[in-house]
Amino acid sequence: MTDTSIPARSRSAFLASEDWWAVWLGLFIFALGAGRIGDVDLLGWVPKFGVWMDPVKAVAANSPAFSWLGGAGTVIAAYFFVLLLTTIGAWFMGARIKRFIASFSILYWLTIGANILGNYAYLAATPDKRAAFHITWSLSLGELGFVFALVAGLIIGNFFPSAARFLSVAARPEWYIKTGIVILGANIGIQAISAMSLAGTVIVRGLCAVVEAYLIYWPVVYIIARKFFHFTPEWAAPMASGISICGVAAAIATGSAIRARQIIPAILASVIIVFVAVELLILPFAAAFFLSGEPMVAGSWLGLVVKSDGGAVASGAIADSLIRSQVLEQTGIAYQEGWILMATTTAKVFIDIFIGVWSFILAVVWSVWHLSSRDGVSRPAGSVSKREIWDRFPKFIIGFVGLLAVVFFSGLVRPDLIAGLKAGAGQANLIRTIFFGLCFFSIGLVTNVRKLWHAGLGRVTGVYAVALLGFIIWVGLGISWLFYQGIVPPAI
Amino acid sequence: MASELTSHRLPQADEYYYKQTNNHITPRDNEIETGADAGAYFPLQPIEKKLCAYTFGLGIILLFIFVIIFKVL
Repeated sequence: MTDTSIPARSRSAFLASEDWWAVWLGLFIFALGAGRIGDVDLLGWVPKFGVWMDPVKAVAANSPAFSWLGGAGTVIAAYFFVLLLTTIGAWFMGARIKRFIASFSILYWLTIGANILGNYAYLAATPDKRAAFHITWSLSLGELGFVFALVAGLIIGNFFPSAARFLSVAARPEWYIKTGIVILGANIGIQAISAMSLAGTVIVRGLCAVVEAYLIYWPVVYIIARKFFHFTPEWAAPMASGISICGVAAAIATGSAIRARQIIPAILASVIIVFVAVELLILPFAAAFFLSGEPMVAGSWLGLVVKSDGGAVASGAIADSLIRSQVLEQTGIAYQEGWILMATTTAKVFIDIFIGVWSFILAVVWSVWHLSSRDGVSRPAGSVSKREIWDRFPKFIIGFVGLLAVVFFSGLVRPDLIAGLKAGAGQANLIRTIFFGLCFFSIGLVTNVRKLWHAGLGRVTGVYAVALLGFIIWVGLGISWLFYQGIVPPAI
Repeated sequence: MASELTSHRLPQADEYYYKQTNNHITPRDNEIETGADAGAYFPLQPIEKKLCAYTFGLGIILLFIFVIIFKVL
C-alpha cells in the first residue's frame, strides 16, 4: 500500500521521470517551431482554436499552407502527434502502453471538445468581436475551454469511478502542465525582448514574493498543524509545505527530506488535489472580479495561493483570459496576452526551485534534532548529501529557463531572428494549449470530492481549510499587492 | 522504503494521483495512519519553536527590506 513508485523501463533518471520528459517534449516541440527561422513550416498543421458561431470555423490549421487539412484534419493530426510523443514518454516511465493509448485518446478528444465548446461566441466573444459574429451580447468570458475540461474531468472522476480508473493511466496533470510550462518559456523569452524592463520586474519581484510567502506561510501552517490539530512533526512538516504553498510536489519533497513514511504525502495528496480543484474553480474568477484593475497582482496572487504547478498555472491561464476580456470591455484597453500568466508561472517556478532549498534545510534540522518522535531516536535520521538537492530539483525548470534564455538572447543578439522565433514560439504555443487542456481535464479526473468526504481525513482537511481561508489567501494577496501594485501588462 | 525516496528517482506527484484514483489508499488506511499519529503526539519542542520563529522573523524583516527597495528605489 505504501509503495508509491511505478517501475520505470529505464534506469536513467533522464528517461524515467515526468520532469525530464516534460523537458524533452517541450524542447522537441519548440525545435520544430523554430524551423520558421529558416522558413520551414513544420508546425503549420497545428490546430488553432478560435471563437465561433459556425462550428466549421471553430478550428483551423494555423498556417494557410495547411488549410487543405480543414478543422477536423488538424485536430486529427495533432492527436497522432501528441499521442506519439506522450506514448514514448509513458513507455519509458513504465505505463501499460495499450491502456495508455486508449485512455489518452479519450482524454484528448474530450479536451478538444471542451476547447471548442469554450470558444462558442456567446460565451467567449469580447465586445469588439460581437459585430463580426452578428451577435448583440456575449458573456465575454474569454476562452472557457479550460474550465469546461476541468468540469468534465470532475464529473467523470466523481460520478463514474470505473471510467476514472480506466482513464487514470493517462491522467497525468503534472507531466502535462510541466511540458506546457517548458514551451511557455519560449513565449516568455519572446515577450521579454519587446518589454525587457517589465519582464525583469516580474522576474525579480516574483522571486522576492516567493521567498516572502514561503517564509511566512510555512511556520504558521506548521504551528497550526502541531499546536491546534495535534499532528506530530512527521505529519506537520510535509503538511506545512504542501498546504502552505507548493502542493503535492512539496509534500513529497519534504516528506522525503525528513524521512517521513511514504504514506503521509500520499494521504496529503488526496486532500491537496481536492482543494486545488476548488481553488481553480473559484479563485481565477475572484481575481478577475476584484483585481481586474491590478492584473499583475492577480497573476502573482494565484501563483502564491493555488497549490500544485498544474493548479496554479491553470488558474493563471484562466485569469489571463478573463481579465483581458474584462478590461477590454470596461476600458477599451487590450492587454497583451500572457503577462498575467507569466506572473503566475514565475511565482510557481521560483516556488519549485525553493522547495529543494527548503527541503535541504529541513533535512539538516531533522537529521540533527530527530524531530519525528518524542524521544528523537526512534527513526534513523540518515545523512544529508548535496546530491539530494539535485535529486529534488524540479528538472522541468531547466527546460523552461533554458528555452527562455535561448530565445531571449538569440533575439537580443540577432534581431533578424525575432520574426522567425516569434512565429515558431507561437506555433509551439498552440500545442502548449493542448497540454494545458489535458492538464485541466486530468486535474478534474483525479479529484474525488466524494471520496475525500468519506476518507476520514477531517483533521488534515481542517488544517488546510483554516490555513487557506484564514491566512494564506490574505497574506498572498497582501504580498502580491505590495510587490506588483501599479504594474500593468503592455497594451496592444 | 526511505532509501527509495532518496534514490535517483523520486516518486512523482502523478503517481500519487494514480494511486488515489485506483483506490490503493483506502479510508481504513487513512484512519489507521492518522489514528496512530494521534497517539504519538507530543507538544512543540524548543527547536521547532526556534525554527518557526526564525523563519517567520526572517520573512517579516525581508518583507520590509523588499518593500523599501521596491517603493524607494
